[in-house]
Amino acid sequence: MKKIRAFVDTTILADVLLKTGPLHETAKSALKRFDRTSLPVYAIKEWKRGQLATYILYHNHLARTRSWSETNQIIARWFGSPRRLSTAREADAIAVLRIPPKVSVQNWDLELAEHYRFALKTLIYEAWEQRREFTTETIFNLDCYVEAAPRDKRNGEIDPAPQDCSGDRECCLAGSLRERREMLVKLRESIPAAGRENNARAKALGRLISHPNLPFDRKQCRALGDAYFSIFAPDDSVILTTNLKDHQPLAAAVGKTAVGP
Amino acid sequence: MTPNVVAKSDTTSLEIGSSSAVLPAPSAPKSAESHEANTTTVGASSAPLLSEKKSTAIPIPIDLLYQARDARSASLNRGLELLSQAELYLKEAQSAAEDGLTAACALHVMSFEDLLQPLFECRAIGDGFANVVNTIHFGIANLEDAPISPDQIGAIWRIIRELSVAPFLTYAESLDRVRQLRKVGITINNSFIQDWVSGAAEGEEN
Repeated sequence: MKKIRAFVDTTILADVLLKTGPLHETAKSALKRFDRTSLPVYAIKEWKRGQLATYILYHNHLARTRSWSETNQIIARWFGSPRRLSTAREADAIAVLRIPPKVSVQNWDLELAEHYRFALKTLIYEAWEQRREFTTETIFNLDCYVEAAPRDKRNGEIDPAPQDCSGDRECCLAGSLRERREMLVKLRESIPAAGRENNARAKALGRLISHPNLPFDRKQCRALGDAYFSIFAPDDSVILTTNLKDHQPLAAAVGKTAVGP
Repeated sequence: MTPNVVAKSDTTSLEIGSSSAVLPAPSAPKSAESHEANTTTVGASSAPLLSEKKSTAIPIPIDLLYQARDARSASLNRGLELLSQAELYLKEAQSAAEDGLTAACALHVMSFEDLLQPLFECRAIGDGFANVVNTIHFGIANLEDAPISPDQIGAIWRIIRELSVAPFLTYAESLDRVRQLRKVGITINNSFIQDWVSGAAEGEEN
């Protein structure tokens, strides 16, 4: 069967919406190779919890502290990356704005914070608006997930809620997953033993295989991660991803194909 | 002496006895004339501020009532002045580009760029105003010395001109201007922002 349809994963969504330069261009070009491009809502959910949440975190710290240096110190503590403490980063941030030397700036720390706060805010809202516009269709809505836009809080921060499915009921995918037991077994066998993400994925699949009557909740749904795309990719599609390392073995296990941009 | 005044209307004007004047407008540009409705009308600074007639209303200290408003008004005056200069530079740049005078065009664009940070410092006008100025600022910086095209100059000029007559746009309205700019290749995103944010999230992203 001719593969003319791309089943778009979260990495492509991230590259198109919030990356720039070669990564962005490559992802956009890749989408043009297909007549039909399908984005599952699961990818939007993952993206909102991942890349978009990081942008919102940075924005909110800038809004809260009104300080470039303080924000970077907080971020460095959270993520444990000392290079972010470097003053070189501040110099880079100033250089990017290309403010002429003859223009005097009273308080660089505040001005940088405000420049980047506004930039991040616009990137966040624009990316959200465009999330359903760059593929030919958005498919597989999730009944237990409300795809709500981020919104302004009164204190100037951005509220990303909800970032997850509602936890008061079983995952809406549970029934469809149980119907595909054979596929789940193959996927579980293909998962390497090492790695936190792989372990969680294998455990979630194992629960569905061995205990199909136990409730399957949002935590286990999240743990499926890349396996979701191999399970639900339509038969006439290929999985389009920048993460071939993780996707290829999973897709191959169930007779599907993952391709890079 | 702190003049005591009585609020007459909702937000835009105050009357002190029978005398009134515009405050503060030390160097109000011509383009500010259309915004008179938004300036605070109080007593003339050199004329007697209070009427002889005694008011029975409770006096409100003007500096308390209008502290925040004055700050915004100062930003507005300054912002409008800068916008009118910016409009002029862009018009000249457009004209030079049409005449094939590349150097003259580039010089006018440089003069325009000098105004962007001072314009951003007038962000007390509002988030929409700040967002448009910031987007233009990042967008031009992101061109990284590549010559700005006549289309880009035209788009920025139209938006600046619009801003000079309607500076109080909402943030949501400003996103429409962001989209107009994106269509001509003036965009906020750049590799620095990407590396800055995604660097912290390594392992967090999918």
